[in-house]
Amino acid sequence: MAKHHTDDIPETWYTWEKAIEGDPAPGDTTVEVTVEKIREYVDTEDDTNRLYLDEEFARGLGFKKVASPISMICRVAPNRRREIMESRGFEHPVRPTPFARWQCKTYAPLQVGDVITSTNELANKSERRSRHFLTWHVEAYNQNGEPVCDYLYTNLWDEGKPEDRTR
Amino acid sequence: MSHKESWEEIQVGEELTPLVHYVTQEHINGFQEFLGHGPSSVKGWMRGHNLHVDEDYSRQHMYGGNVGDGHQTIAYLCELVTSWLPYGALVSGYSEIDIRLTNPTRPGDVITSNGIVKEKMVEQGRRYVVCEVSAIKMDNRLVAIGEIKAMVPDVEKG
Repeated sequence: MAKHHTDDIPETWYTWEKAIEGDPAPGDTTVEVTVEKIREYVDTEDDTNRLYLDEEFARGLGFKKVASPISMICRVAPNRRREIMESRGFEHPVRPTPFARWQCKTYAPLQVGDVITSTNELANKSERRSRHFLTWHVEAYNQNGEPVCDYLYTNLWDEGKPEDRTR
Repeated sequence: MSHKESWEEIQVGEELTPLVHYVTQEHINGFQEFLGHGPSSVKGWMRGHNLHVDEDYSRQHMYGGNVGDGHQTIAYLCELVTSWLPYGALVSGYSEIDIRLTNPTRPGDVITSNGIVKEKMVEQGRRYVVCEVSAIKMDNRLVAIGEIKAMVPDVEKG
């Protein structure tokens, strides 16, 4: 078992031990896909793929306006793990919980104007190589109730180790 | 950047054109703004507690300083694929992404993303390319590795 330093951990923190598979986020959340959000992605990543910039070109490939990059998924269907913890009466630990793995399936393109509604729950607790992980599940639908994507998002839930400071 | 025009011309074993990203704090901040967690957009608890932008906070914790968001590293790998495959691949739905994040990126890092075509297939009438992808730092330390199965639409224009 990994060392947890449980004596130092506030009772209010949502620890790996307190997490229960199936813990849900309250309700759902809704975010619209907009040209402005796509433009923010293009500007910050300098990803000038023609599909993200040239509406006429993108329409020729079946998009309603410009296409959305994959990164838009986490913008419009966010992982609301903090809300999951708070709904159980706990707080998010005040320390990093490194992002370890992302497994995503898409079922339709994210179209400009789509209003994406997503739900979120704790899908899985796991232990590998003496480290503890929590995996969250997000499912997202468009305004017609059609699935657009779902993803599993895994965080390392242990304290860091001294060698992490030089990784 | 070379760019494939069609699914047919892609060969199994072919290497994707590598993509280089220079990680800066400004670059990290920009991506956090896009996600709604940046210095000017963050709300609630995360204000002052964002490992990617709040140096005072991140210095006290496991990495000893700000690091890039794993989502941003995944964005590099997705850009690698969408820049090389025919237009519309990966972003037209019916695709899968599975990426493990093995080390953090930090301001000052130079990240090179690489990929190779592992498989081509047709499933339920849709054409796919499966790419093994990875991202490394300038000292060859691995920051991400995984697989992207991209659906390639059968209409190529432009």
